[in-house]
Amino acid sequence: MNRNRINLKIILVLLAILSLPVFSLNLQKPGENPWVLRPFSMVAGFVQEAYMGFVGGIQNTTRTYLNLVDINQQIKKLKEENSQLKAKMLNFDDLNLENQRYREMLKFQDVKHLVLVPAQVIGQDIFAERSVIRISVGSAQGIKKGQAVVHPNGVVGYVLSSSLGSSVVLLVTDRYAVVDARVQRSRARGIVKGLNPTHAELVYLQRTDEVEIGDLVVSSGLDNIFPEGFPIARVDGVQKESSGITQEVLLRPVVDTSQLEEVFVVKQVLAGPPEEKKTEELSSLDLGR
Amino acid sequence: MTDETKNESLNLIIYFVVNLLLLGLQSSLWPSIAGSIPSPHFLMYSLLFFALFHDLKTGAAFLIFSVALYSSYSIVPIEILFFCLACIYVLVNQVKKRVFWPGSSYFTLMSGISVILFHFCYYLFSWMIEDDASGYASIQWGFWLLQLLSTALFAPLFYWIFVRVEAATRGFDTSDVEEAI
Repeated sequence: MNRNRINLKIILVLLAILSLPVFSLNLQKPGENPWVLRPFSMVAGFVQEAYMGFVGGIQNTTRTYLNLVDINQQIKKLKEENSQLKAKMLNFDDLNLENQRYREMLKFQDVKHLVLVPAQVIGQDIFAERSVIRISVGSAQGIKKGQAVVHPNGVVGYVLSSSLGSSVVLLVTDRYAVVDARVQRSRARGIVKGLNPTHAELVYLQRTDEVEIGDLVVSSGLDNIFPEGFPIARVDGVQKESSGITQEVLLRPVVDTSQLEEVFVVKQVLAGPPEEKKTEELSSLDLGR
Repeated sequence: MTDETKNESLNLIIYFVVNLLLLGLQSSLWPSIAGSIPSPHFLMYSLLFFALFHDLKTGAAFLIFSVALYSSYSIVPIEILFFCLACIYVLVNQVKKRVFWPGSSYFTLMSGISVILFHFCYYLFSWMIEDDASGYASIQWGFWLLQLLSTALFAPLFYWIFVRVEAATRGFDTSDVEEAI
């Protein structure tokens, strides 16, 4: 009887000690998921997806209930005012807005030179300091590490790792995220680097390069991750030191990552249309403007 | 397998599953409902409970499980997570030897302190370990304060739940909880 109790303790201590070297396997390899943690990561994906399904269910039920209550109130009002159709239209304002959003996304998905995979945001990093989200598509849908993640408004980030049913996306505001970029107006080239959850910075921009507050910074396409011309951020501040060869440029991303619900993973960039055609397609969507 | 062994195993499994669900809640459900309001540090509750009311061996095992759980919901390097949680565990354990009174108020106080301690440890170990360390720009005093408050707010509830789990699996004395609630 007593022997069994001791055995459990020994097993626990051995487990603790043996786990330490396993944990050190991913030392200085951000984004690399060691095999021992993959089941945990997969389970985390399932749990997050289940929670999002739960939230979706509650939202739908609440919306249905509120709509029903609202419709009842409106029917009474309509009987008095004899304008049933007008009131119904007001009632469906929310749905109209939602439809409009989906229409924009469908229009975006039709951009000819990109193969896009739609995804739902199912979770975020538990530490607010890291700008990371988890999306509902994974290796089963052909999602791989390094693929770009975009939104009709502009660049979101890129895939850091993918498991069977979900993927982890590093947002442009994370301090480990870097995107090769250009200032759209002056064509000056630099690197967008994440700073904190709300801001990024444009680094390696030469002191003589022309940049002003309000300028749009777009992807250069040279990193082979993001298609060329996608809006990343707007210039929020410029600081030139009295010495040095570069300047400090503060950026505010065009996509508010805290409000993200749906995104697209760029599975493939087709070489088809010429450069003017691509720009035409993207500009017709009013990206980031 | 004796009843005691079974109960201890059951105890660990319950904490593991509860934490798995709580972390999912923190990363998925909370942002959907509360938006940008900082969520409580849910894992801190059970880590704190283990540091205060379990022996070192079980605590060490739980610490390893906690790190594995955390790493599945975050991209923070696993060694930083381990050092941060280990620091909190050891410090709470040492403080308990000097200052301790039973009840949820102590647990609430320690949960608040642990959250701030975690952020400081994270900042320190990031600076020591990471190539591109967490800079001054990433310090969010307002966020830390709000997370401290939200964690402290839910602490009595989790203390109550954990004491019930302990009472059912390890014969933990619940009299002080009854008084506190």
